[in-house]
Parts: sequence; structure tokens; C-alpha cells
Amino acid sequence: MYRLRHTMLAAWFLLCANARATEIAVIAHPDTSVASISVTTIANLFLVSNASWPGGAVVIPYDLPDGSTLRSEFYEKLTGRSAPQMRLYWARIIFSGSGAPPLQVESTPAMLQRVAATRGAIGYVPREQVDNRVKVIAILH
Amino acid sequence: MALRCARVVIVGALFSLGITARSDASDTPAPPDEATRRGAALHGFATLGAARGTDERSGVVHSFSQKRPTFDRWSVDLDTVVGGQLEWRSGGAHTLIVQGVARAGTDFEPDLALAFWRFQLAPQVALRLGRIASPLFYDTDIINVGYANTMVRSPLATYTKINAIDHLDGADLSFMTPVRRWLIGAQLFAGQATYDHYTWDNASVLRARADDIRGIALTAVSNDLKIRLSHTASERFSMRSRDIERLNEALVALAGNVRMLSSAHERQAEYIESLQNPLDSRAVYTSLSAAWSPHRWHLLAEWTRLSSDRPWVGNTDAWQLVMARATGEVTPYGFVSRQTTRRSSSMSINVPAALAPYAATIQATIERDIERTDLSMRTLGVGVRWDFAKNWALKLQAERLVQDVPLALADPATQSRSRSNSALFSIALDWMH
Repeated sequence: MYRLRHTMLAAWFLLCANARATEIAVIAHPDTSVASISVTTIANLFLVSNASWPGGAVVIPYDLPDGSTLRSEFYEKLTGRSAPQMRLYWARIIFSGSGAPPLQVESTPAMLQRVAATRGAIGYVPREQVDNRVKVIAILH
Repeated sequence: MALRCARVVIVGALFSLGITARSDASDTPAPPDEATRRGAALHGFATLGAARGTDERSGVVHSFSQKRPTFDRWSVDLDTVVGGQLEWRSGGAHTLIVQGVARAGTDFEPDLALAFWRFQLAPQVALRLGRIASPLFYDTDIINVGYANTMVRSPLATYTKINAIDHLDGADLSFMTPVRRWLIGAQLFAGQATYDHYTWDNASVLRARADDIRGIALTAVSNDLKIRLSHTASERFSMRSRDIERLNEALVALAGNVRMLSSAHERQAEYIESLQNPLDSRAVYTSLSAAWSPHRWHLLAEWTRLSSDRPWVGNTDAWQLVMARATGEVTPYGFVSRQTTRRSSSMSINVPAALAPYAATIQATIERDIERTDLSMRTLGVGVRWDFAKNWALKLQAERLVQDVPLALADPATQSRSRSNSALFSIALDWMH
């Protein structure tokens, strides 16, 4: 009886964890020649100012506002860093004068619209919100 | 006093400006029709920090520019700083950035930390002209921004000697390209830097100037790993003051007296004359660092060397190891750091016996000046950073400092080389926008 209760409890936690986990689609402008991309390369494109696509084209990363749950999840999955750690990271970039964080858009619909309309753009949205205006180049689990 | 009050008012206004900007512009998303950056943006940062040591004889400073060392009483001079940054982006290839900083340790004298024009020559190549952040060591470009450092400050043993050079007046050319899973970057820079150098016993102020600086920094970045190597040379690092001028006059007079005794002493006289400006040298700064941030961890290792072509100034080696792990909003950390100065030879003045007492006095003066630049020490510390609200962090830090030469002595009458073993406690509230 005791073991059964533990097993059920563990299963419940597992279900809850799975229910909360969002699959995040990394999206790009449909003309992007890149078909798929590694997590490390995605991290470089978002974290390093003036980074470029493999092949040399200019990349324009878009971000959701600081404080957004999806943004925190995105960087957690991408880099393992929490929101405060990311703020510290961007403070280094901004105040050393070496670059700037990605441009912000207000929502995931705006993210889809901006990435679809901007050559070289890269962004992220929940997988279920992806539509055919953008190209999915990676899925973060 | 009135001047200091005026500076505090200016700094307060700057801080208020930052707060206002925060409330007006915080997290304002880009307009939907904006594909590139265009227009002005205001950022700010501030640290309200207090620190105290446990040794009334031995003080610590953040940099040679700090006017008063921190002893065994709570002081805001070590870490308190406020800064504002104005950026203007053309929406194309041009960016202008101006950053002003005022530190409590310099009586809030406003300092222009950054002022440069950035031109994106190509997608992977950028040129900056003007006053740029110092690329000498791993942390020198954010040395004034407490929020951008996991700890209260970069370890004193590694950074005190270099912190005063927090910017260069000149230019840099940077290049970055992807190579497999890495981003490889190179930064070529050139320029000069000046600062006011306060000696550890507050006996004099020197004007330090590093001219003809040229260097290169290479970086390799791959997600959570960054490796950086930089090598910088200042062909003419000079220190000037009224005391140095008097010393030069004394050396010239001594050389003249040596010549008068006998023409056979010409080489000795020339050597004595060459001792003028004894702290001047060709200075070379080297730094090798690796920062690794796997899931919630932050590990940093850095080795640095400051070498001089004057054997009695010697080479200074330093290293730091930092380890931190974020758990939610709380990040405990620990660090260890050490700096050692080695001189390949001591400076000596050999003169005929009749001039020996005079020469000994001059030699003692020069050796005292050289000792004032020796910051050999080691530190071991722990702390905790609490990001209690967005853009705010509170830090508590305790460290053990063992200084081979006390950085400052409260009682000038007891000035002498001796080892100091003391603790330093710090609390800092950091903010940034």
C-alpha cells in the first residue's frame, strides 16, 4: 500500500512536470537558408551581439519582454541560465559598450509577425502557435 | 565641502534620471514596425556599498584612483558608484554611446567612462573611435558596474592594480565569425590612458599616463564557455608628480657631483641620470581567462601578468578562481585570488664614498616609491548574491586578505614593510536599468 502510494505520487509529479513543460519552436524568416541548427549556434545568435547566420548573413534576434515566462523558459532551455543570470549577462554587454540585447516585441503574435516580415530574423514561440509565415529551425524541449 | 555637496546633488540627479527612465521606458517593446534599432536609449546603474576591514593599520582600495583607503570602519568609498549611459542608434551602421560614472572613492568626481562612435563596417566587422572600455583583463570593461559582477567586486588581489585604467582613448577594430560551434572574435585596439594615482600612504598624488597602447584580445565563445586571451603593451607608461621632479633634480645633481670627482666615473654618472623617473617603463599586460557557465553554475579562472622593462619594478603575476551557483534568486559564491610581484634585481646606486650618504638617501626614496606600487596579496572570500527584485541585487561578502605590504597605514610613523592578515566585510545594493 505504502509503495503504491509512492508510485502514484511520483507519476502525478511526472505528469505535472510534463504538463508544465512547453515545447518552444525557434523560428526564422522563411527565406533563411538554414534548415536546422544546433542549440549552441542558436545560443550564439541570441547572446552575442552582431553575430551572423552560418554563411555570414546578418541575424536579427527578437526577444519577448523581460519578465515573460516564455522568455525565461527559452533561456533556461537554451543556456541553463535563470532570468537573474540573464539580466547580469546583458548588463555586462550593455555597460561595457560591446553590444545590445535583442530587440523586444510585446507578444508571441508580434514575434511571429516580426520574424515573418524581417529578413535574417530569428525568434521563438510556443510550438503550438507556429504558423506557415515562419520557418521552424529547431525545437527546444 | 560645498564642492562635494554639489557633486552629491549631481549624482543624485543622475540617479533620479535613471529611476525616471526606468519607470518610463522599462521593458517598452520595440514598435511593431521597427526592424532595426533607431533612436536614443538611456541606461543607468548604481551601487550603494559599504565595507569595513579589521585592521586599523592596513587599508584597502578599489583602485589607485581611490582617494582614501578603507580601514576598520564602515566606509562607502570602496564600492559605491553611480553611472548613466546614453545610446543613440541610427538604425543602420552607426551608434553613439556616452557613459558617465561617479565613484564615492573619488568624491563623486564625474568621469567620462565611455564616449565612442561605433561604425559597423560589415556584418562581422565593427570600428569604434573615442573612449572605449578597457580590454586589458577579463573584467576591466565592467569594473564600475556592480550589478554586472556576480560578486561585490572583482578580487582585489587581481584587479586593484589595473582598475584605474578603466578606459582607453583611441580606437578598436573587432571581428567575429562562426567556426563550427564556436564564435571566434578578435579585437585590435590602440590608444592611451591617464589617471590620478594616489599612493597607499596618501603621501602624494601622481599623474599616471599610459601612452602608445596597442593590443589584441582573442575570444572563443561557445554557448556556456568563453575563452579569452589578451596582450597589451604600453610603450611609455609614466608617472609624474612634484616629488618625482624633485627626485630627478637630485639624481641630476648627484650625477654632476660624480663627474666632478673624476672623469673616470662617467659611466656611473650616466647610470645615475638614467634612474630619473624610476617608475616609468614599457608595461605589458597579459590575461588568459576561461569562463564556463553550465546549468546554473558560473566558473571563472583568470591568470594575468603585468611586466615591466625596469628590473626593479619587476613583474606582477596574479590569478583568480571564482565559483558560483544560482539557486533561484540566490547565488552563493566563493573566490580565491593571489598577486605576487617579483623583481629580478634591486636598484642600487654605486658612487664614490664621499657621495655615499647622499646617494643612499636618494636610493631609499626611489625604493619607497617602488614599494608603493607593490600590492602583493592574496584573498579568499565567500559571499551571496540575492536578486530580490528585477534589476536589483543585494550582496553580502566576507573575505580574508593577506597583504605582504600593507596597502595603507593609518599611522605614518609606523610605515614599514610587514605582513597584514585581516578580514574585509562588504554589503552592496546594486541596481541597473
